[in-house]
Amino acid sequence: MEVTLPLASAVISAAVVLTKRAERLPYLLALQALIIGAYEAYSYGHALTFPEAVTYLGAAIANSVLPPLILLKLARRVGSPPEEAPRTAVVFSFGVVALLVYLSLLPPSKVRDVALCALSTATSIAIIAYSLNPVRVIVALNMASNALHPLLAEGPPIFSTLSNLSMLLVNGVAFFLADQAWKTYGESSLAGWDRWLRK
Amino acid sequence: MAQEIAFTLAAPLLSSLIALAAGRSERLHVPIVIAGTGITLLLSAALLLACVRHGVLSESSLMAECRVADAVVIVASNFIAFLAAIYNFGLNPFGRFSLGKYGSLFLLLVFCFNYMVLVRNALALFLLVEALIGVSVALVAHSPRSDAPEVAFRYLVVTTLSAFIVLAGAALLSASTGSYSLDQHPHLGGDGERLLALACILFIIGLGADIGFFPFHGWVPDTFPASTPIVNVLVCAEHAPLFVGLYMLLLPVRGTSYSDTISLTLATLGLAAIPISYTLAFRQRDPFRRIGYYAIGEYGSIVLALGISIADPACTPAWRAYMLNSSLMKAGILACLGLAANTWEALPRRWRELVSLSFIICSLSSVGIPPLSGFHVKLRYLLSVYTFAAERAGAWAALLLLAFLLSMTFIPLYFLVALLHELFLGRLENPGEKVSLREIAAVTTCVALAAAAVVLGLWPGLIFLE
Repeated sequence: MEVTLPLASAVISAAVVLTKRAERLPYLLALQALIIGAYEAYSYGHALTFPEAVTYLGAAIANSVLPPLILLKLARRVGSPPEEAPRTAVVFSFGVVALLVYLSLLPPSKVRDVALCALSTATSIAIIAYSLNPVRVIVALNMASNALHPLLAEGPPIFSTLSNLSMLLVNGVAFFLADQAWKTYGESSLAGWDRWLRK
Repeated sequence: MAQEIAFTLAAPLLSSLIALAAGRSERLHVPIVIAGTGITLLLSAALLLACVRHGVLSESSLMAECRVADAVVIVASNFIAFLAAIYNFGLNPFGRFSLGKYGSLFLLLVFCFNYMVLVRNALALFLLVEALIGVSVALVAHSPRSDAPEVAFRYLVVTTLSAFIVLAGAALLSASTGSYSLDQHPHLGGDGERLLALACILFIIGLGADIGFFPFHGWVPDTFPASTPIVNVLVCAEHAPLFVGLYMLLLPVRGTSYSDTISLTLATLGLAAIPISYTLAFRQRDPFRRIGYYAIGEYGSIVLALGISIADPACTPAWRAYMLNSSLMKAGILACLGLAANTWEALPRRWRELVSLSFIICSLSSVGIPPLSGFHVKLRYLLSVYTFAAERAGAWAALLLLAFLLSMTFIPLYFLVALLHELFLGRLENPGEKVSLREIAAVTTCVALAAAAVVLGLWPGLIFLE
């Protein structure tokens, strides 16, 4: 597996940590999805028949375009205030990038690839842990999913297509939930939802 | 080609598309959901008969295989789904989604859990877990209650992350065995076995968080009160397939030197879950939260039995039967509670007594009182635990463990009796006068699940079919 992929994922996740405004996050997600989609299309190469290629590319393009669009719409609708990441999260995200650079120097093996992919999701998981902004949490979920996508490249292309489709379902549900919560509680932060319910 | 497998999977998928196409019409929603689940139940019964006749059915293009025991799980889960569809007619199905989307999600869940039992590929299982999560969360979010979006969002985040852990486990499985197939690999050797054991730990964490067993249960107690009673009954059908999925993912470790480690890890998690969750259930005031914690305790027993069956294949029927009985009885208890919380005022006294009796039967079967189905499954389960513990720690330790497990039975018995008095027997006065077809349908669901406890108690061979 190309080691630049997990590195690119980790760098983009670090950029998500540094970005304060939720409206900018979907663009970063689109960038990550495009890089990973392009790599997968390249690695499947000539192995695909024409119908398979059309299905695969359709799902990959949908995965790079639709979730960011859904999340952009959500970010604009909910209109949450800028969120600053805790300093530990910033240090952690750069630590992950440094560790990935170190791991990429190890001799290639399947276990190293799994470790690289798993590590590139670490920043996304940290974002889910600290963030109170639903848009940022959903972006982090998508980024974790995209970062693990190269693992699916081992299987037939249909798996990658189906995974993209099921993530679309998850995004649709997440959009619906965040929108409903905003309408019900009148709050755009996860802490606000909790406060409303406690009242 | 095993047509029975293809038909069992195609029926709910096609009905799901039809439900979506039918849109918002209430007149069409109920027949489509009942017909979709009913036809799937009939086809799953045909699948069981075909398995009994031919032994193993396999369909390589779908990466699916079906043995008699798998078919029994599918029939039991589809039976719960069919009764949930009848219950759906009896109670108010309206919520945040249009009826078309809701009906489609209902049937899509049936497709996902049927396929999960049959699939024999780790990557395909990951995809099914991911799809199942999306559908289950959407069904929880359908509830009109104000806490539903917050609870469902939490549920979504936890379970989606856990699906990624399953994917990482599948990649490690492939790194150690060279394929994503779920066959046993007794001659892997040092590094391969270590990787396989690590993959199994990831599967336990990933699917553990999806099922909601201890210590990954954080979201479970909140989802029971936040969901609609219909979804609560339907979701009982997915637990057995999820456990079967976990069993299939753990099977490759059987026969390796890490088999006992994985087995003991599961047994320890299960044993810890039982007292903790029963004690927490005891402290809850909301009946649905109480049942939520009770469910976590039941998962603990199932995880304990799963651990034992990973080490000793002879114990697998006991684990499977315990899991099926637990799903059926939990569905019965939740159906009765849903009626008590929603349409109780409209029911005449005789119907209230019928629901109360169903609750009593399901509760007694769930805790293992003879001559109901729970007694037989608990007896086999306790015998398996005794054999497993006696081989490893001696007869006295095994007896102590049995005494502990038996004493734990009294806690749920106590709070289920308290619920019976509080919600059912204490509210038999001032009954409604007339009963409509909808209420008859809802009560039928409770009665059918209680009848299942009696029938399986009289013919326990049905639930132990291998």
